[in-house]
Amino acid sequence: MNQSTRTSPPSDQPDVSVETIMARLVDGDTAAVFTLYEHHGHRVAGVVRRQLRRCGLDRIAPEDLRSLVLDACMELLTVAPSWRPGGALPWWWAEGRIRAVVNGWVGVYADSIDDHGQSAEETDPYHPPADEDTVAETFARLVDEVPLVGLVAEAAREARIDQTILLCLLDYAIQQDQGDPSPAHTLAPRYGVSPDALRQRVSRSRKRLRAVVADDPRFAPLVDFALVA
Amino acid sequence: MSPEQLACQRRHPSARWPFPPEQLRSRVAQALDLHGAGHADVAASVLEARGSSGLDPEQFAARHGVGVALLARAEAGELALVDLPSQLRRLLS
Repeated sequence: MNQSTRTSPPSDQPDVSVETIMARLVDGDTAAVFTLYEHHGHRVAGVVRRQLRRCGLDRIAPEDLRSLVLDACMELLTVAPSWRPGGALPWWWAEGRIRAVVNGWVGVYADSIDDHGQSAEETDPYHPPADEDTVAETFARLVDEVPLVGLVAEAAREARIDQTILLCLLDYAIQQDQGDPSPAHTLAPRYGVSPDALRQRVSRSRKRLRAVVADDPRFAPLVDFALVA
Repeated sequence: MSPEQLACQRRHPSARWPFPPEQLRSRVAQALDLHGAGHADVAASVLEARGSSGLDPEQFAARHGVGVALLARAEAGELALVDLPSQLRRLLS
């Protein structure tokens, strides 16, 4: 998504970008809930449907879906102050909250036995972090704590990928993993480049990283990583 | 993508959730009522009209030729339907 965030509309034109809507919600502008519902409700519905499918429900009545989307939008209103522009889209970022809404509607008896593998995840209610680490902080911490992440950092050094580009690469992969259909557009404002330039930068860095990983046996454990695939 | 293309994309029916927000309006009206708004239904309808337009208060007020302060009062539930200027009343009917 985020096509709506690429260009600022003229001052008399509506700005229905996610960033603007979330900023208005944070400012206490209740009208923005209607904007969110009407202009991005179909995207929220995607997250709702996904969770319904997890609960074994492939089809529900349109009025029920509408009601769930509405509840999900009200949840987004609640968590709006914690959302940060430039990160995951609000409905993916608050997926845990939306899942809780859907689970509450479906009820515990709708959980199939096959879902019990996820029980630990389900029983621990998800709360979006109020103060999440930046990607840079998290990555720096993981480099020290997780050997494989340290290996990624080392491979990046070998490939002459500097820290900023590497973080951009990670951000890009995170956005892709979270279902963002156009990570370049989401991340371009954060890195101060055009979406095309960012896409090119990511592609080149990925190629260099892939080459280093393929050539050096030290980096064999990284061969299957999505980051270099 | 050019601004014109973006505008077209935003206007396209597929870029909208197809269900009208009546349910949301009544939910918002309830919330406003709980917070002591005198005319919660009117306020929710005005909020819906502005929210659906995607405009901020200044833009919306300018587009419909009403004052921002009056719009704020209407959205806060301080004005009855009969007290709204005709430009706003028309939007709600």
